[in-house]
Amino acid sequence: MSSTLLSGNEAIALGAYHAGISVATGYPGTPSTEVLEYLARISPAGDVDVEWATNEKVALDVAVGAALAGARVLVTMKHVGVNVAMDSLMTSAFLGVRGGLVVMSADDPGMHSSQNEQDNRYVGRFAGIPVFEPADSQEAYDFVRAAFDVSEEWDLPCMLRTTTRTSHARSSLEAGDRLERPAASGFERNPSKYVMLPAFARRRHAVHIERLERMREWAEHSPLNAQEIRSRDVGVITSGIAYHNVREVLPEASVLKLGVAFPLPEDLIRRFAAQVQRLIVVEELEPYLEDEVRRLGIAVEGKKWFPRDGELSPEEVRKGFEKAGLLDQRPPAAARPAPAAGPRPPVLCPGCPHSTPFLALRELDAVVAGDIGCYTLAAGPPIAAMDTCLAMGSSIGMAVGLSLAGVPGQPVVATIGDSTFLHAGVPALIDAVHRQADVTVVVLDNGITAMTGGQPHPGVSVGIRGETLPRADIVELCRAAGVHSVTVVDPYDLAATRRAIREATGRRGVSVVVTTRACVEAPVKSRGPVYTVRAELCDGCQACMGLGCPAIAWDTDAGVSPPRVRIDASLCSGCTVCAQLCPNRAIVSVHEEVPAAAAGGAL
Amino acid sequence: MSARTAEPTSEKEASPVSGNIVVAGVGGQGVIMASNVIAQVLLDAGFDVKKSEVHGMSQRGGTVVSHVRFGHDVHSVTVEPGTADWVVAFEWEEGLRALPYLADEGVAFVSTERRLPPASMSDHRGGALAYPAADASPRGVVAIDTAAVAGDAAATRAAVAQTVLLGAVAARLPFPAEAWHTAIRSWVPPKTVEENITAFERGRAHKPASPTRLRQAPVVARPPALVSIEAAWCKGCNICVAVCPERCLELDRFDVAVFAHPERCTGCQLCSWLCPDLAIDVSYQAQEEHVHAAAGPR
Repeated sequence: MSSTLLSGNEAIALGAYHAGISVATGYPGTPSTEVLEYLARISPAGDVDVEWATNEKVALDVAVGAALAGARVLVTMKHVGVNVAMDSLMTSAFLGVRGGLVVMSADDPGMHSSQNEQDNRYVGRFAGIPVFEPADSQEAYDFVRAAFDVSEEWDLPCMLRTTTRTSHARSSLEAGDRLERPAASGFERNPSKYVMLPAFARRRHAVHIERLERMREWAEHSPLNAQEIRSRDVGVITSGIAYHNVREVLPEASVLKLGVAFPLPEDLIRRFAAQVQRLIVVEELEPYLEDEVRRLGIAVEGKKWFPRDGELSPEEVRKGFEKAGLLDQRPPAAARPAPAAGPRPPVLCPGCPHSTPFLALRELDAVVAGDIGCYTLAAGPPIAAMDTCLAMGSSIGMAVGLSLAGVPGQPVVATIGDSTFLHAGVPALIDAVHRQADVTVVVLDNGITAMTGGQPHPGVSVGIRGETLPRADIVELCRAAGVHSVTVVDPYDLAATRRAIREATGRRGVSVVVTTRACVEAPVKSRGPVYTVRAELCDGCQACMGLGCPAIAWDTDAGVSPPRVRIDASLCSGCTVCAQLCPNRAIVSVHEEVPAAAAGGAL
Repeated sequence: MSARTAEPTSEKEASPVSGNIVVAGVGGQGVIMASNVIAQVLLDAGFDVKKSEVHGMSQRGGTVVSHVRFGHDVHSVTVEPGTADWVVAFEWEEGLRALPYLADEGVAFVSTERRLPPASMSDHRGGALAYPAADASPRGVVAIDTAAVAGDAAATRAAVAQTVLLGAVAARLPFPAEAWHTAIRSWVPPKTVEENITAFERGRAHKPASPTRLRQAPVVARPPALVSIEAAWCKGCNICVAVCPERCLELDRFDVAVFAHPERCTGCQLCSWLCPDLAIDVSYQAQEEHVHAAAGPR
């Protein structure tokens, strides 16, 4: 047993490293991000080439290329990232691999940090690649190693599908050693296998279908699928985190735990079903296994009792078994006063440079097509200045569409972060210029992929290991796309930001405003002299509260209304924006504050 | 001792055979670090341990809940409502939010620290705070003024105060203080080890007194200010409409500014100051006296 607990993501990184990978890439996305970060920490640079890619499709293409040259490759992304890589993924099974290739898809049931909760087991089946589904950190470690072996043995990419709870939960594990593999032997030409012209692709498709037929036999005997026969009254087919919740809630039930979600071991399922009186499938999200079992002509229950949305927590599993009549209703816990807690949604950090562009957009009453990143939080009160959010990079295209259809009297603006802009915004910007759309694109450049915890991207000059790398220049990219009006502004300068955005929205055609200011939290926490409220000057006008800064709160001890505000010095980053918003000049740097004011204040 | 325990032994306290701990707080408070410390102590004591929390968006000042489960063979990674032996909450409101996790005989150690979420302060005019006041602690809750208990240990870094809560839990668990010290050393930033251990020891020695009262002064509302606009002087430049923090003003169909939402007005006078034509007057004289009377000596 390890002396410390590893998260599922750390276990995957360790497992992949021990499986002998020499290349790893991906795009950050919760809950997948920590895999590459941990891998970069535990592996010497000479062993594994780890780097973030511009987007998931690029990452997969890099991985396929490396696999064709004989390297073992890990590529990581979140569930919706797989959609971006889908074009390459769908045909990757036709090409096959030489070195093992494992695609990690981290799904997010319950949408803790995502815009949907799609079930990527279907994606694996759709692409015709084996799908491995670990239930805890030990399995994450073991399954990723097994997936590399299967990938090479069957000449196929494999998918390792986790969920938030398997990726982020920590449990102990026993690990082996790194497999020493011979160095990649170089690329061998094989156009009929690697060049997917229609003539070749037709042949490869037939090869692929035939291979999947043979893989069914492999699935029947894979040790990753295991029967646990206990009570004959009820048998549960389950996978992933749901397995542990079934064991927790209904420990006497017989269980068929499927570690491989595709291809399925049909005979094993039939044999298991024959041994139990009542067969129930307990699976998170879609009735993927249930439909497959029913297709085999076996009587089965599942989504009749368990929800199709959200996480399948132990309490949800318990409720399902209660409804199915397999568990007595648990006596409700002694009544506790209903918690009077109000909502506490995530908010932009104190000093977040994304705040002011949205204040300016709200003042202009602009129609704002938003995008994916921390700044999506500007959709909530009090800033409330974002009108749409669909998918990575969608803001620019949606803004073009809105302006083509016409939004009379309101400027149409797309807001997009630097990492998202490089990920999927650039093609949309080229399109916008070509169409001569009347849109303004505000690129919120904080020099990092912030929402996922601060990962570098190809627009900054550092890599995942902190090494210096060449970078793409966002302003030059915009100019090269044909944008004539590109303005760079410091978002901490409220007046300049307002002016730049107002002028840009007044122009015909595509205009770009790049707001440039490093993220306050990463890669380093930036802290200036903190600000304070001179209580005798604050009249409670609440202008600063419109910023939604968590460091600014009411002085509830004063007992007046509108309430006076004060600033929590331990949270303030010294960004100065609230001081610029205050009409009474009541907010000053601690260095400017005169002692008399401190004495007069209620602080 | 509320965890499921083995038969009493000669030891001072019976060793738990399994248990559930929920650590709750606000993103950035160190919830995950604290649950790592707890998990480390349990792991070193020879238990199977699983720990789960959600990273990502909840770190941006939102609610963070970490689940720690221990026993001989732990399956689920999350704690079912009504089954937590201990709740450790770094913030008052988050403690209340986590209470449904608590088992009947469970104990919740809740810091009286308040982190007002911006959403709780959206009544800009009335000043009604949407935050649970606490005149008395709910059943099972031990409220601890962590900042007071930590004292000078948290002088440099306010977050250290929450380590007091780890001490409070440690006092109820049969593991030696050294095991906790070792775990704290391995998880907190090296620079903060000593102050964290001091705060931990103060929490371990702390004898919770009667339920702590949380201060919350009554809110005294004042009537809305009156914004009068001289229509003849207004040229419809829209400045006041754009700058009003509460969006009280609108242009009518003649492009004249009107005071459309008096119920939102906080009387800040920004419109009056910025009107280039001096067309706006904000009056709230009667309220000044009201406010001073209400505020009293400060």
